[in-house]
Parts: sequence; structure tokens; C-alpha cells
Amino acid sequence: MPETAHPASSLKLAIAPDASLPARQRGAWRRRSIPFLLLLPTLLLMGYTFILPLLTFFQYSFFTYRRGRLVEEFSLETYRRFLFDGYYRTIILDTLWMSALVTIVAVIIGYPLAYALWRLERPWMKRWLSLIIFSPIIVSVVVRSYGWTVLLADQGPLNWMLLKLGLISAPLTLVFNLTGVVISLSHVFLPFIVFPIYASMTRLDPALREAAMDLGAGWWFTFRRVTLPLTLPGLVAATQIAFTLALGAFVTPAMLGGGRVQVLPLQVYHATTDINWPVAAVGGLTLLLMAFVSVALFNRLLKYSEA
Amino acid sequence: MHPDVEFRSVTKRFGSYLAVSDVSFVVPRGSFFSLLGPSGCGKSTTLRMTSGFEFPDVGEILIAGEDMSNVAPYRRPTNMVFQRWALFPHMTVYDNVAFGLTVDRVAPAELKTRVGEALELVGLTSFAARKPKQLSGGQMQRVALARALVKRPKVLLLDEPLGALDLKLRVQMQLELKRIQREVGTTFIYVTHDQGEALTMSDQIAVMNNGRIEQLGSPQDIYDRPMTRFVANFIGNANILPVEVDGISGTQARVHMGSLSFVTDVSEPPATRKALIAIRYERIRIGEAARGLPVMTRGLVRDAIFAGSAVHYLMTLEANQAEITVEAAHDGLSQPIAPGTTVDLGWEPSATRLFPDA
Ligand SMILES: Nc1ncnc2c1ncn2[C@@H]1O[C@H](COP(=O)(O)OP(=O)(O)OP(=O)(O)O)[C@@H](O)[C@H]1O
Ligand SMILES: [Mg+2]
Repeated sequence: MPETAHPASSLKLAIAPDASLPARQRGAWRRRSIPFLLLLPTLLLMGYTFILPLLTFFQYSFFTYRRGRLVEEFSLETYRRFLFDGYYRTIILDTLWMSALVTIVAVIIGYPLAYALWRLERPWMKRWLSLIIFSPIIVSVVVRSYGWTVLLADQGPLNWMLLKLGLISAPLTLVFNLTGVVISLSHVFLPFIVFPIYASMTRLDPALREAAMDLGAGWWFTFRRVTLPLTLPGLVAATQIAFTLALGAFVTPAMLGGGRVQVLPLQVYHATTDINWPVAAVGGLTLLLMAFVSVALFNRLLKYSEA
Repeated sequence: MHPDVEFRSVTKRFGSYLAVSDVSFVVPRGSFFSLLGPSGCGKSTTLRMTSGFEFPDVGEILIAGEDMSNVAPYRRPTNMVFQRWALFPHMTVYDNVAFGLTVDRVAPAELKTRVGEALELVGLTSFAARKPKQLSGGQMQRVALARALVKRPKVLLLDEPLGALDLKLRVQMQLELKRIQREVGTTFIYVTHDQGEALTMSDQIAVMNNGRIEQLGSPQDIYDRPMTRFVANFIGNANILPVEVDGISGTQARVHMGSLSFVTDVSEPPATRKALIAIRYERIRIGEAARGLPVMTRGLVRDAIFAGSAVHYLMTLEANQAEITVEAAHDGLSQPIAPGTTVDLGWEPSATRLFPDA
């Protein structure tokens, strides 16, 4: 902040007209303060809506909740429960497991899609494919989730088709469990996976693939030794985005999980409706920590892949 | 014995655009063959059809006697040095060079010796562990060369490999490329738009323009006996002058411009009386050196431009007031002729070439 950085000049500015400062110094001060002034609304908003609640949360995380009442005494009880209680441990592991599954499924579908988008020659095909990839985030999450429940239901079109084709003898349970949640989340994260990967592909020099082919490499060898390693940064970025988004997903697990997918954001939500602030606070902080750790881990991976 | 590469009436279109048109040539084994021409004339397309990245619409391409119509790039006995080298940025120099051998599943011991030999050939043994980013342009160029040569191709294709280097390095790499070609004895097909490069290195040059081969011959052939006006104009520096044809007999013709009547060699017999001759700057003799030559005239020096090893005189011919440029070697002792002087000019009949005016 400029006030603390230049106490003398700002003081002078406050008591005397600008003209009392040497022109050059005044210009420099202005240049340095303009970015801060421009950032001020954002900083205030961030402080009020993010930092302040975070600090409050931090404070609440040390309280306890007993018989429907908040006990405002310092205690590590909630943390202890999160760390050692089997109930919370299962929830944390399930959250990680679901996020990992979603990320893996989304990458397995998204990478080939990005590749297809990259290799398509005709511009109109490219446009349509990008629109299709983009479509899940255009549709409201509620509408999309209902759509999936219809599609994936026991008597839904998917099961009907599989039964007709004789691939299964009894309907598969595809919704109101982890499967439904993973399908729907992978679907909505597709654009976040495809576009970073696609961007890293378009940055590839097309001559590299030709060079590999010229040296005798077929498609698979070229992909494994040239295209994939050089698009790894895009892949890592995509994974990072999908995983952190999945960690925080709330509506989809709530609507398509059928109560069987107990992820951390749902717990936090239930805790807040019970006004169990300590559990909500520790849950929220745990989510934040998990996001930080995963981002850091992926960044490590990125550095490794670029070396 | 089959020639290494043979094009038989090859035509290639991109949409309606004719990129390569009815091109035929033969590249003998072990020779240095250049495709020379201005930007966009279809040199790269010709090369890419040889490597298999493009396929001809009409005609055949044979490599070592075998038709390549249905052969994918990775199955052809050719390797390419790309215009901007296209080194794999995530691999070391060693791994770049080893790439082609890894594909072929060459045994580790043999791979190691062959990569070592290739790196030694281009003088990069001590750079094996570096990444392309850590190399200079000339070094990257050598890696690209080693990477292609290590596969021992029948034909090495080079697409303006020196285009991105500065002049000094380019001249040095020209000599080195020529040495390497002699050492390995591989057939080189070399694409360039730099006539100096083509003239110094090649055994044979195909001069291309608008997708066609205008002339195919040895560097000296092409320089001394350009067969089309385009070649005369594109290679070296030539004066193109209008003349009137008085009579043609075989390879020679009698022509006149203004009051000057003389005999010239014919490249393409013109159909009309009005035609053009081309004469190189340095084939015109000036002053003392012009005396006694079969064709003699006089000209007024308008300007003298000193260019180090030579002096360029901008002159007006007495016979028809045509503007010409004459290049005289500079001996380092005499003063250039002062502007405003009228001097003798002369040349041999073989110095001029006759073309149609169209
Ligand atoms: N893939 C393509 N699609 C459409 N047109 C193309 C394609 N490749 C080349 N052309 C056209 O064909 C013509 C010949 O191209 P080519 O690359 O062979 O030229 P070049 O002689 O190598 O030129 P330069 O010296 O600039 O590299 C050009 O006019 C170019 O625009
Ligand atoms: Mg080219």
C-alpha cells in the first residue's frame, strides 16, 4: 500500500497542494499508486468476501458444538474428529476418490476429443465439435442433472437400449450412486479438459509430427514419443482444473448421488443448515487444503514434465 | 542400375491451384541435385512428394526404381532435413539423432555406435547431452542433418536448410554439406531459392518457375547457356535488351538493335521479328579489353558503382540509347572510369542469348 510505503509524501499530499512536490516525484508517485487504485475495489471485495470469512471460519474451527449449541471455547476437538474419526476419514477419502475418478474419466474422454478437434480439417466441423464440447456449461446444472437422471434411470433410454441389444440381462443402476455423479461431472468438466489440451496441441509445430513420420515412426510411436510429451503441460493443467472443480462439486453429488455419495461439500452444507459451524469450518478448511495440495502436486508434475 | 529418384510427368494441384506441373527429372545415384526457384514455385511441394507427405495427382515418382504411389512416408528410403529443422524440443541432441534408429529397433550397441558416428560427422560429439534450446542455429542445423543421415537413407532431402542462418555461417555450412555429401556418398536433393548456394554445391540444378522446370543442367550450363528468359533473368545479373531479328540459322541468329548489327546464340527461336537478348553484366568487356572482339560498339558511362571486387558501370549504348549495366573486375590498382566518358564496349557472340519477346 502506498501510504505505508511513502508515509512522508502521502502526509505532505494530505496537508499541502500537489504543487509543493517536485513534479518528477509527484509523477512517480502517481504512476505507482494508479495500479493500487484500480485494484482497490477488487481488494476490498476480496477482503470482505474471502479473507474475512476465512478468518472467521478459522476462528470457528476451534469451537465445538454440543447438544445443538455452539460452545465458544478454544478446543481442537473438531480437528481431532476430522483426523481420527472413521466417519470423516471415509468422507475425505470418498471425496478424493470421486474427484480422482471424475478426473480420470474426463481426461480419458477429453484427450481424444482434443486430439480430434485438433486434427479436424474442416472449419465448420471444428466449430460444431467445439460447440458440443462447450454445451454442458451452457446448460443449467439443475436442468442437466435432471436430464441425466432421466437418461440413466433403470427404465431410461440407455438401459432400454442395452437390454434390447442383449448386452445386459437386468438394468444397470447408473444413477443415484457414484456412477451417476461421475458421469455427470465428467460431462460438465469436458470443456475445462479439452480446451487446455487443445491449446497445447495447436502450439505444436506441425513439422515435428512430419519429422517423426519421416524418421520411420508410425502414428502410435509418434503420439507416444512426440505429441503426448509435448502436450503434457496442457494435460496437467486440465487435470488440475478438473480435480479441484470436482473437490468442490456440490449440486451434482446432491442431485445424482441419491444420498450415497457423501462428499465433503455436502457435509459442509449439512453442517451449516444444522448451524454446526465448527464442523462446517473444519470441513471448508480441509477442502481448501486439499485443493492447495493437489494444485501444488500437479505443479510439481508440470515442472517435471517440462524438464 | 536405377537412378535414385525419377519423376515422370508429375502434376500436383491444391484445389484448383497448380503447384507442380508436368515435372520430369532423373537424379543419378550419389549426386547433388538442386531445385532452385523463387518463392512459391513448387520446390517444397516437389520435395514433399518425394518424401511422401504429398502425393501427386498425375504421374509417377520412382525411388531406386520402385514406384512410390502407395508408399507411406515412414516406409520410404528417404530422410528429410526440414526448413526450420523441426528438432524434438523435449529430447537431447543424442535422443534426437537416435530417434530414427529407435523406431527401427536397432540393437542398443549398434545404435550407440551409429549415433556416435553421426554426431562425429557433424562435429557435435560434445553436445550430445544438450537440448535443442541450448544450441545455436548452425548447431541445430547439424543435429537435423545427423538425425536424417544416421538412418542411412538412399536419398537425403533438404528443404532450404540454411535459410535461417546468417550469411557467413551459410557459406561455411555450404562447404561442410558438400564435404559430408562426398564422405557419405548419399544422393542429396536440395531445395533453395539462393542461386549462389545452388551453383556452388550442385552437380545438377533444376530451375523451377510457376510449378514447371524451366531448365535442367549443370551449374555451368545453366549459368552460361540459360535456355529461357526466366532463367537468364533469375540466375546471375543480365541485361535484357530488345532487338530485331534479321535471320536465324540453327543455333545462331543475326539481329540488330539500332545501328548495331551482330550475331547471337539462340536459346528459344522467336516467332516474331521483335525479340530479346540477354547478356550478363560481366560478359561485356569495356575499354582496352573490348578491342578486337567480334561484336563492338561504344557507350557513355553515366555512373560507376564501386562494389569491392568489381565496378558496375551504368551506361547508355550509342547504337540505340539502351540502358545497360556492365561489370568490370576491379584489379585494386586502377581508377574506375569517370562518368561522362564514352568508351569502347565489346562481347563474344556466345555472350548473348536470344529469346522471344513475350
Ligand atoms: N497444403 C497446401 N494447400 C494449398 N496450397 C499449397 C499447399 N502447399 C503449398 N501450396 C501452394 O503451392 C505453391 C507452391 O508451394 P511450395 O511450398 O512448393 O513453394 P516453394 O517453392 O517451396 O516456396 P518457398 O521458397 O516460399 O518455400 C504455393 O503457391 C503455395 O501457396
Ligand atoms: Mg518451400
